Amino acid sequence: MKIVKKINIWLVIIVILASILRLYGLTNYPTGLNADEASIGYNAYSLIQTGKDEYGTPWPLSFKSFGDYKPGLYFYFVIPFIKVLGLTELAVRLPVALFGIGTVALIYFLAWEIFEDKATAIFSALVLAISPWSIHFSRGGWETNVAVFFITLASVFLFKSFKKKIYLFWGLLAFLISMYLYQSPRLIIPIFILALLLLYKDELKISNFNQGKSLIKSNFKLVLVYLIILIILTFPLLAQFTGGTGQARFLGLSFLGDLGPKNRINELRGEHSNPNSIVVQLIHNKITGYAPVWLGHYLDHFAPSFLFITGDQIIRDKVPEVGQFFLTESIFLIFGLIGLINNGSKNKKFILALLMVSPLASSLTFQTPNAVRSLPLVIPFSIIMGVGLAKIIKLSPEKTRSALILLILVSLGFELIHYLVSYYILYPNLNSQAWEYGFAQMVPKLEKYQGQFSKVVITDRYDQPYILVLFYEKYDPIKYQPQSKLTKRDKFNFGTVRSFDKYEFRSISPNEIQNTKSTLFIGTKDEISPGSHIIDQVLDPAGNPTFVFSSTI
Amino acid sequence: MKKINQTIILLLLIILLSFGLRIWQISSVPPGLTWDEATLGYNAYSIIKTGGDEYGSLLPLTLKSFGDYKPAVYVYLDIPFVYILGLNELAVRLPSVVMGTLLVLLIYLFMVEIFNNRLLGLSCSLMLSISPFAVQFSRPAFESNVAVTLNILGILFFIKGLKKNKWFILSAIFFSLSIFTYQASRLFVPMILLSLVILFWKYLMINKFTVMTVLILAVVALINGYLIFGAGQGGRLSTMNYFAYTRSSGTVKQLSKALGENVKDLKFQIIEGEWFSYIRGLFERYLIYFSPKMLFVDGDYNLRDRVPDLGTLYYFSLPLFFLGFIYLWKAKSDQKINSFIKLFFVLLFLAPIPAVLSRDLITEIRALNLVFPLAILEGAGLFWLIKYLLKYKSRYLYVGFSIIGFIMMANVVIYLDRYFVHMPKEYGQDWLARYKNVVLDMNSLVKNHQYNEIIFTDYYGQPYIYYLFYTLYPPQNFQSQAILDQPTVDVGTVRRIDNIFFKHVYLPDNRGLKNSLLIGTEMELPLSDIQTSQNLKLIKEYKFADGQVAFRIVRVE
Repeated sequence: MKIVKKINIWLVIIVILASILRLYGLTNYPTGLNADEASIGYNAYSLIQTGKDEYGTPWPLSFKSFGDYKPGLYFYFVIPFIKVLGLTELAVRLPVALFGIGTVALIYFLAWEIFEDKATAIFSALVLAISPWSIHFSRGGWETNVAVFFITLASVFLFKSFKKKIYLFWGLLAFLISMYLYQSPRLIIPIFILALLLLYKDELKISNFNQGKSLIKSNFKLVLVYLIILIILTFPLLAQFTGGTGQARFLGLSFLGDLGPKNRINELRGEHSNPNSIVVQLIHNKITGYAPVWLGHYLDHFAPSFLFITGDQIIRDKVPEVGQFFLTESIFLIFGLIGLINNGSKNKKFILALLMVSPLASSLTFQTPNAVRSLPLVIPFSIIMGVGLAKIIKLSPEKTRSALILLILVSLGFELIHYLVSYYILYPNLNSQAWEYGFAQMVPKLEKYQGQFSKVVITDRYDQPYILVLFYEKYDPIKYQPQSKLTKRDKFNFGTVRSFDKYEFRSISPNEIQNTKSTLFIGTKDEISPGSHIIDQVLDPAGNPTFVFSSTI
Repeated sequence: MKKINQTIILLLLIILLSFGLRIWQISSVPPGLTWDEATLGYNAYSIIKTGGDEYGSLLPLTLKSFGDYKPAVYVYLDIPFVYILGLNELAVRLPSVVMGTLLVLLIYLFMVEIFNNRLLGLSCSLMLSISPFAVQFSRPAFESNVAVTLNILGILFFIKGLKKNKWFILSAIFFSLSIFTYQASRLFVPMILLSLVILFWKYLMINKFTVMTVLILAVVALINGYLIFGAGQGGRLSTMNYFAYTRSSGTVKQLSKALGENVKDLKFQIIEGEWFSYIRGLFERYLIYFSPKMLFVDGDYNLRDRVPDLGTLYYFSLPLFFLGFIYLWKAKSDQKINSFIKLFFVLLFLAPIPAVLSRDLITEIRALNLVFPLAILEGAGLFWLIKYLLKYKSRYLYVGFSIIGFIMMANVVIYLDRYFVHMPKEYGQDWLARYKNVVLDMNSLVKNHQYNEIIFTDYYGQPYIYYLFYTLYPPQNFQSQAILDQPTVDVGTVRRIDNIFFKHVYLPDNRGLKNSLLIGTEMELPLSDIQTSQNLKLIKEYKFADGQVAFRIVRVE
């Protein structure tokens, strides 16, 4: 087997390293479980038990979650894990981690297919294995990371299809799977495929492996059958697109919804002595107003401060003091981009196309740079950095080469340790609220005390508390489904469930506790007024109370 | 022969365009003089009239100015203009305009010298001539802009010197002048000289005499520079320096608490120590000059170094930038010009370094040497695009050229609209737009009536220099009363000229005044206080173009 020859001991070591980085302490780090993860877990649990999701819809393709519709394939991936491991944090997170490890192995093959250079392939896998961007989103219920696995897989298959046509089908199928996993591939992948058709039009026209016959002509029937299968598989996706539910969320997130540029256009027109003249209207209009805004959102994903210094702005998406990649890797990136110029590989256009297409979905939203929606970027960046590292080592004089490698290893090693300290110590201590820490500890206590009360009020200060209570109580889905009632969407386009069983989820007002009998209140520290009778509390890793239990005596 | 003539005509047109873009409405856009511009102008005036600067130092190499000790070359360049045109905005800014225009010629000569390709040279000079980055900094009197032109002259004559050694002397002169023109050159010139010597070591070794000339001149220039700037500079440099700023003690405390370690522990010092935070900062500061977001969308943060909404370069330069990079990098494989193209990349990657060491995250004015290599990237990109299009049949050719031309024109129009219409309106305060009007009106009031005391606000900074500048105050009269009040290492100011006091205007402190003038901001002289007070009378109010009140002149009866 040719593949076996290509696998070498270094790849094995890198995959082991990637596994340790992605699996160690997965249950407890990140500290807590966020509402999206709980939703994935509980819906999968509900499907196992009843064949229906939390709202009683049987086997949905996209899940209604907090009023938003999520592509549903990942929920199904989680089912076997929940069957084996039970409804636990690990079961929700493990598939993502495993796919993350798989991506590290796959990128080796992808880089090999593109550059046919062992060093480049190994270094690409190394960069991906240790990159904070990949590690962060391999740990937690991030479906987007699974989508990236399938995009990488599809890319490998596409290259294989040059030699064996059947892979073209598998490649397109893998692309399709990624579109059932997460929103952003639904925009990125069709554009990417179009770009590839343009870039590889010569290869498609006259296939060298087919005695001069075109790929499509020589296998007309086969191609037709595959295409029909793929098109049929696309139908449900199209139905979702036109269904209106997805559109509402998109419009809420779109940069076009930002009124700033619109007001700015009027302001600028007003500064002209003749605001309504045609010239002024031609200079200041919606196109000249919004196009640069979009460009800014797009380029945000290539800003050095995002890539190497501070990373994403949302605390759930990042750990303190680290960028998406290590500082040392910025040097690899520069050499990599330069290396691509001189590189003879005709497939480098593939990697550049992926690089340019990946942030497109994210660039249409107003929150940029966004590391989650633009996660496919991690693949082209890692490969380009792999090219750069290989180039640096190749360029270095023979005499000093080992010293240079040592220097690179030391600086990458230091940055990796710095990152791990940040991930395992700083992050839980400083940002545990980003992962809704405390429900795992709160729910057992709730179960202990609730027998004495006829009603329980739980604060809604943390995102979607109901789903976390369902998750940790392993609340019987048969009992829950009839009670599920979502509120109207709020200004962020999200809804929530305000009550089920004897639980109510809302904010607690100051004097409520004294005046309400036989009700258990579980609130944040600020919600429970200082004089109240406190039954119990839950502390976060830094030692501050996250939940305080209180009631009238 | 015909082709050469065509090139020359095109080049002249481009230079004319550059000059036009740089001088059009130069007296009123940007809409006021910065502190430094007013200082440079008045010192030139002072040297013409007395031979000494505002403090009376005879033909100084550095200006004490606000205690920041500026290198003085700009003042000497300004002397002929002030002599002929008088002391006004035009005269102050003309040296910068001329040097900025000269750079457009130099980029052509540089490219033709290296590539022997006139079209490429024209393309680069066109891109430099319309570049927002270049226009922004070659209109106002920025010493940095002059220094860039001197640096490029130094490089150009160095290259010429490789063929004819006598040019090395000119090269050394321009490099030394650059050091006496702008602070950042003290770092940049040694770096670029060293790179030149390393890159062209082979050429230089052919003639030992040459090496000696270059090295000696370089060393002399550097020693001069350092000796002269050594004095009185330390304090300010250390506050403007990036390394003077550490993380806040709160952040450090939070980190040490989360880690459960004492800040002084070795482990903490290694993992979360200040050293790594500095390195992160240096990477951030350096890389930002190559960030497409910064270059094409965001621009500099300082409002004097930008126009509203737009980035440092045109939007259409985004693809040109990458095309140009690829084109030049590929051209590097040509052995004959290899060292020269390497020189280009050295210039590109060294240019931001002086800015990296400053405390501000972005300061394009200190990274202004970038303007030259960036224009080359854009120009090379455009050249390549044109060459690529020329391969196609004429039908597509016209379509292609029309589209490119339209996009470029549209973007240039958008830029010029922002620069000439919106910038003066929106950034009036940052350009201290109303100093001129208020100083001139005050002067005529003082001429018509003898006031006991005049109190002029220092809210906008350095009011004294505007008084000197706009009233053409006789330098010989000022020199004797020039006392710099500089309580900290940061810039100081002059507090008194004759009976005019430059300080914060605070009404309750000034109750005892009689027969005086108060000139202050909206906050310092609120309308409510003026109206309720018997002896106060509002004489005139000055507004910025955006409607905000800039100054009020109030008479105390």
